[in-house]
Amino acid sequence: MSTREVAEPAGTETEGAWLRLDPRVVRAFGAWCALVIVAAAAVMWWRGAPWWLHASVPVPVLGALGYERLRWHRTHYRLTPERIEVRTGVLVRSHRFVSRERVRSVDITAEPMHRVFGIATVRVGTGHRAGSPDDATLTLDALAAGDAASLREELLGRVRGGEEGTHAYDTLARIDWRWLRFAVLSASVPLLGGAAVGGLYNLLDLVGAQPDTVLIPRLWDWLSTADPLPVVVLSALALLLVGAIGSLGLYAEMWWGFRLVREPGGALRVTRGLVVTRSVTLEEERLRGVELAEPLLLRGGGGAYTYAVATGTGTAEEEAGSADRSALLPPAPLGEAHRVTAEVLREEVCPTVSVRLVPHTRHALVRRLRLAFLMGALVAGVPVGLGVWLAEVPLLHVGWVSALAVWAVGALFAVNAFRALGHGITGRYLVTRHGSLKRRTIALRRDGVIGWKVTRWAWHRRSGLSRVTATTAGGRGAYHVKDVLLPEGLRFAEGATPGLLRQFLVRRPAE
Amino acid sequence: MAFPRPTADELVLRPPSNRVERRSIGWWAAQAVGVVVPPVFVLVLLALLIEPARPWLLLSAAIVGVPGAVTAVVMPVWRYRVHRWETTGDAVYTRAGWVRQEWRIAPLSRIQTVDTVRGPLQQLFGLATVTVTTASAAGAVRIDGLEHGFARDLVDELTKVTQATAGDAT
Repeated sequence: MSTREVAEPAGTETEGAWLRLDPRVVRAFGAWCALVIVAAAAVMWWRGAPWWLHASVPVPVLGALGYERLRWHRTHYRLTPERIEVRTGVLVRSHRFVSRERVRSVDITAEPMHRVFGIATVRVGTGHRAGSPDDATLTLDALAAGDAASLREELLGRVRGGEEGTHAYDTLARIDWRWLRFAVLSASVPLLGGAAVGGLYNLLDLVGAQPDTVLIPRLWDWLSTADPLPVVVLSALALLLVGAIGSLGLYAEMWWGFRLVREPGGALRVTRGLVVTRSVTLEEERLRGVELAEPLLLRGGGGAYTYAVATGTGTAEEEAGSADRSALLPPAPLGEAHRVTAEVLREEVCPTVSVRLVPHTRHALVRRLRLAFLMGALVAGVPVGLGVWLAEVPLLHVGWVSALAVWAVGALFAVNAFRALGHGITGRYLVTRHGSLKRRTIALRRDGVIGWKVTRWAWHRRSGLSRVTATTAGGRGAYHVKDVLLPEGLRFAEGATPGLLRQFLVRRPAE
Repeated sequence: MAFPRPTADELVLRPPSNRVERRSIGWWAAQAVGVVVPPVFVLVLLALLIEPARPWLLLSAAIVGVPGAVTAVVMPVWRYRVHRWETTGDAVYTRAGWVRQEWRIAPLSRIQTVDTVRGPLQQLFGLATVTVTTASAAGAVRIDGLEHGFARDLVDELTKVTQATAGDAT
C-alpha cells in the first residue's frame, strides 16, 4: 500500500514546510450557508411561519460553518521531494502519505462557489485499486486555483523528464456543438422529464400551493372534460420535450469548453464543465486501452461514448463514477471517436477499425434465443398458472399476450446481440465486442493482460460454448469474449498473449 | 439443435495436474448443510406451532429443503471431480466450480499477494484456501481445500518466486 495512516515519522524537519488549505474555502462554505439561510427564511416568510421557526434555522447552519472552520484550521499538507503528506481530521486525526512516484493522477474540480472565490479541489490518485477508493485518493479541499494548477504540474512534472522546456500542448479534440444532437439520443430523456415534473411538484408543495388537495384535482377536472387520446399524447410529448431540454442543458454543463490535450510528457488531460469545472489528468503509462460504448439510441444516431481503460480510475463497483472520470470524449460521432482513439493510443488507425472481428458461431444465437424463450415462458407462467387455478379466462389471455410480446422483443434483442458479438487481434491490441442495449467495443493492450479466465456451464460441455475473459489492472478489470466456442476462444487468448496458455493446452481429436 | 462437428483437432484446456484434498468433499457438504438446514428448521418449527398455515409452511420447507438436500449430496462429489490446481515455472493454473466451471490462469509475474484463508469450518476439516491476487478487479485466483501445512508451504514458495520478479504487476 502506498497510502498509510501512521504516527509522524521522525527526522523530516529539513523538508518542505507545512501549508494550510486556502482560507477562502471557509468563506465559500459561508456563502453557501448564507444562501441556505436566505432561501429558508424566504420560504418561511412566504408561508407565514412563526418567529421561533425562523430563529432556529441559523443554528445547524452556523454549526456546520464552525465545523468547516475547524476542519480548515486542523488540515495541513506539505510536499517533500519524496512524497505528499496530509494531516487532517477534526475528531479522528489522520496523517496520510503518498510517495510521489506512486502518484498516477491529479484531478482538479471547482464547484460554482469555489469558482466565485477562485479556489479548487485537488484529488491525488495513486492508481492503486486495493481497498476503497477513499484510500486510493488524497483530497485537498480546497486550494487557490493557481496553487492547484501548480501542484498538479509539480506532482506530475517528473514524467516530463528530459523534455523539460518543450511546452507543446497537443490538442487532440475539442467540443463541437453539432454533437449536441447526441444529448437527446439518450434513455435518460423521459427520466429527466419525469424528474422535472417531480421537482415542480416539490417546489409547489414547498411554497404552499397545496398540489395534492387543490392543483391536481383541478387539473384532473379540467383534463377529464377533454378527449383522452390527445391529452395522453400531448402530455407524453411535453414530458419528452422537457426531458430533451434537460438533456441539452446537462450536456452543456458537462462538456462546456471540452478539450482533450496531450501534455508535453505524454499525459492526457481532459478539461470541461460549465458550472462545475473539472480537469482530469491520465498518465499515459496507466493507459491499457479504450472502450467505445454505443447505447441503442445513440447507436441509431451514429454516435458513441469513448472511455479510457486505465489503471486507478476506480473499482468495478463504482463504474458510473469512474466512467465519468475516464471519459475521453463527449457522446460524439463514431468517426470522431475512432480518430481520437487512434490519437490517444498513438496508433495510425484505431484498433477497433483495423481489427477483423471474428463473428461467433450460431451456438451463441441459439443460447440467446433460448434465454428469451425461457423469459417469455416465465413471464407467461404466472398469469397462466393463476388463470388455470382460479378458472379466470382473462388471465390466460394476459398470459399468452405477454409471452408473445416478450418472445418478439427478446428475439429481436437476441439477434441484435448475436450480431454484435466479435473478437479479434490487431497489432498490440485485442478487441472484443458484445452487447445490444449498450454495445461495447473494447480494445485492450495485449501486454496489459494480467491473466485469463474461462467460464463454461456444465451443459455446454459438448458444444464447448464458453466465456473467455482477459483480466487487466485497468478499467473494469475484466473484459469478456462472450459465448465463443472453446477452441476458438483459446486460440484467441493464446494469440493475444503468446506462450502463456500453451503449456496448458492440448489437442483433442475431433469426435 | 444439432451442429456439424469441426473436423480438425480442436484445442482444449488440459486438467491441472493436482487434485485437492479428499476431505474437501466433507467440507463442501458441511457448507451446503449449514446453508440449507437453518431455514428448513425454522419453517418446520413454525409449521408445528402455527396450525392454520401448516401446509403452506411445509410446502415452503420442501421447496427449500429438497433441492438443498440434492445439492448437499451432488455438489461436493461433483466439485471434487472438477477442482484441480497446478503451479508451473511461470503461472498458477486452477479449475473450479461444478455447474458453472471456471479455469483461471495467472502469470507469476503479475501476482501481487499470496495468502492463506481458513474459515472455522475449514479449520475443523484441517483445510485452507490459498488466494492469489493480481491487480485486476476481477477477483483473486483461489485454490480451495488444501491441507493446511501444505498450503502454508505453497504460499511461501509462491511468495519467494513472485518477490523475485520486478515491477508493480499491473
